Amino acid sequence: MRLSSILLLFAVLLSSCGGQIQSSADGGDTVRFQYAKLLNLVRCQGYTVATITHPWRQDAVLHQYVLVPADSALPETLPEGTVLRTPLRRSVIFTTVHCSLLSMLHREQHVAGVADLKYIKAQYVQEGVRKGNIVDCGDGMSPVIEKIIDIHPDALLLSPFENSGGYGQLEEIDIPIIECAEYMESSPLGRAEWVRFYGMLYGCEREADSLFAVVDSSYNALKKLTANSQKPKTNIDKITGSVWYVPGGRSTIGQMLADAGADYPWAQDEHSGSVALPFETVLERAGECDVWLLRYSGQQSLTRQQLLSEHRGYHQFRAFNNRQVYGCNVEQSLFYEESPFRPDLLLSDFIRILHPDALPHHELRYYHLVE
Amino acid sequence: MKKCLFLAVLVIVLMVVNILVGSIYIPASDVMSILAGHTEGIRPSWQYIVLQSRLPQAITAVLAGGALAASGLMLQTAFRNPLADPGIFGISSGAGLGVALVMLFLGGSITAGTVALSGFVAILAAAFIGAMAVMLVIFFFSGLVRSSVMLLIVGIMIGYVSSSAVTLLNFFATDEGVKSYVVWGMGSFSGVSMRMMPVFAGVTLVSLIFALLLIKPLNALMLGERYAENLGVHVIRVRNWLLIVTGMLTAVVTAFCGPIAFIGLAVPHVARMLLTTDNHRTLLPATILMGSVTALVCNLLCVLPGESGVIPLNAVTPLLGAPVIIYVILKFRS
Repeated sequence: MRLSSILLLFAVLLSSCGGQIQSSADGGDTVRFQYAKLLNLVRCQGYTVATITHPWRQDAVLHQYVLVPADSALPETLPEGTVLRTPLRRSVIFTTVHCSLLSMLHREQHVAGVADLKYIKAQYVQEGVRKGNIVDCGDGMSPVIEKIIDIHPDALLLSPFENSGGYGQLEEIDIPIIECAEYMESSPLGRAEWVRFYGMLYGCEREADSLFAVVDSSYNALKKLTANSQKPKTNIDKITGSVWYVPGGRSTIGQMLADAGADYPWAQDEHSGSVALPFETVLERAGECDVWLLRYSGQQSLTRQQLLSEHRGYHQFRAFNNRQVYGCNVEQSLFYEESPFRPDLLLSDFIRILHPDALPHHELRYYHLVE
Repeated sequence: MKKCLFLAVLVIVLMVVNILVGSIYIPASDVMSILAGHTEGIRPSWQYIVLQSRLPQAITAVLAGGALAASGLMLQTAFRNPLADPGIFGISSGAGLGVALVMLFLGGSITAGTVALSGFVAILAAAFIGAMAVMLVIFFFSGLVRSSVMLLIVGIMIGYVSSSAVTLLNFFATDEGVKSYVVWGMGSFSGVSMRMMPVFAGVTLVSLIFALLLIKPLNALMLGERYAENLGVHVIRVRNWLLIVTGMLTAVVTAFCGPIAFIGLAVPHVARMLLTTDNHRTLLPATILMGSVTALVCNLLCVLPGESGVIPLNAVTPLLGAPVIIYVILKFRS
């Protein structure tokens, strides 16, 4: 008798969508994500459970959310998690990437405040702050809490960092924190697919899904373009002081170079972040590269002369001597703003540079020839 | 004297090892033929690495290590403070402030009238100007303040002011700027190219010669300022010379290599204990050589991970230095 009641209780728990994280997948409709590995969404009667897997700890959950439509009453029993009433109407955004994302989704009007304004490029944000429609909440690492409380946001969107020790006072003010962990996805498309989650949050699911469908199909179509061509050896970025930070083989850039049909000297590298190397190692491994794609930041476009004044040794690179250096000014272009959710645009640039014949009509969007 | 000779040999051996060993593997025979000028059949990139990267790096380590250790010793003697080091007068933080201004505020270039500097030269100029500016301030106060302790405190205060300015600059800077600045702050002996070497070596060697000329008054200062004055030493004038020499040494090293921690503080102590003398006639040369040895060993440790990366210099110097100091203290405590 007792045993059967326990079993019954167990069955109810399992089928009742949520409660425990493991069981949330068993009830309701799981929303399929083709590439994103950190997201798990289950639609239930009256609400949706979104679970974000911990990017740095195995088998752990970073955060669980329960999305309840704002126009319906809150169900009496809800699984554990931060409750979000969707669509979000007033959010505070902490990153330039997500400000641009909301602009892609045409949800600019739902940005009530931003942090780290000086890093944000989206025009509507800068203008909104000037006009007073959007509140500048100060520095992202130590925001002005009183301003945030004052604007009554329904959520804060911020990027989680490894071992950062939480979000400090932000966790105390009872405003849901949405941890935008998509930058820890292992593939460019996985990262871009998170747009579907944001679509759900902001009530534009269909728009977001179709946006991702475009990204997905064009990315894969672009990838096929170079499948059978020769792979030009490609060097990347430049030295900072005495260290050359090279994106690892598993990093987004590393994977996109592979998808663009490049022979990347660090393709076999296992890092998903970057590797700090001295000049001589990079020269040894990438000195003979045909093409050199570098990112820099500055008010003006980089010239060959400036490059040499930073380091005479660039003369030793074949790509430099053959005038095959392409630079991307991350300050002047929207590289960091667009590429997370539109990797297809960046891939087009890579392919145009590495295989000019494959995309003859594409105009470079981020990179330019360094002259 | 014997110990100095031994140290000199050690410097040469370590220099050779530094040129032979780097992040990538180049056969020793090839390195030797590149150094001897036989370059046929050897990859041009290897020639570049040996002649334009490893060789200047080894020379820089020798000079910078010696310079820092010498200024540490002179400051410790002059101010009778075992904790004095080249950073104590805020000279390296002055350099840091100059670099921060250029990297974080001016976007990496200086334009003054018709002269426009960009890239590494701009950083170099900024660091040197910053260090020199702080030195001039200290020099000014040296004329006003008689007490050495008070002068030290003035120096430390200037250091605090420049670091708080740097903090502010960092706070408002772009992430690329902050990253460049952090990397600069980690120190490196790779900043001096062969083209710059004459300037770097010239300034350092001339300053070191001046340092050697100060041996006699330094010995007198060991007895205390009163005694030194009785011996006919003009204390304020010696102190000003010391400031100029140590300021020059610190400024030039910090400009080219970034702020390098620890060598200036630790090496004089090790030298003193190993030589068991306070006579600067042997102590100063030994300290210079030992500084070079320390810098060369640290430089070698930085490239230990090989192909997989580098360790920043400022992470290595205390790691190597602190245990040595503790060992020396324990061994010679009687």
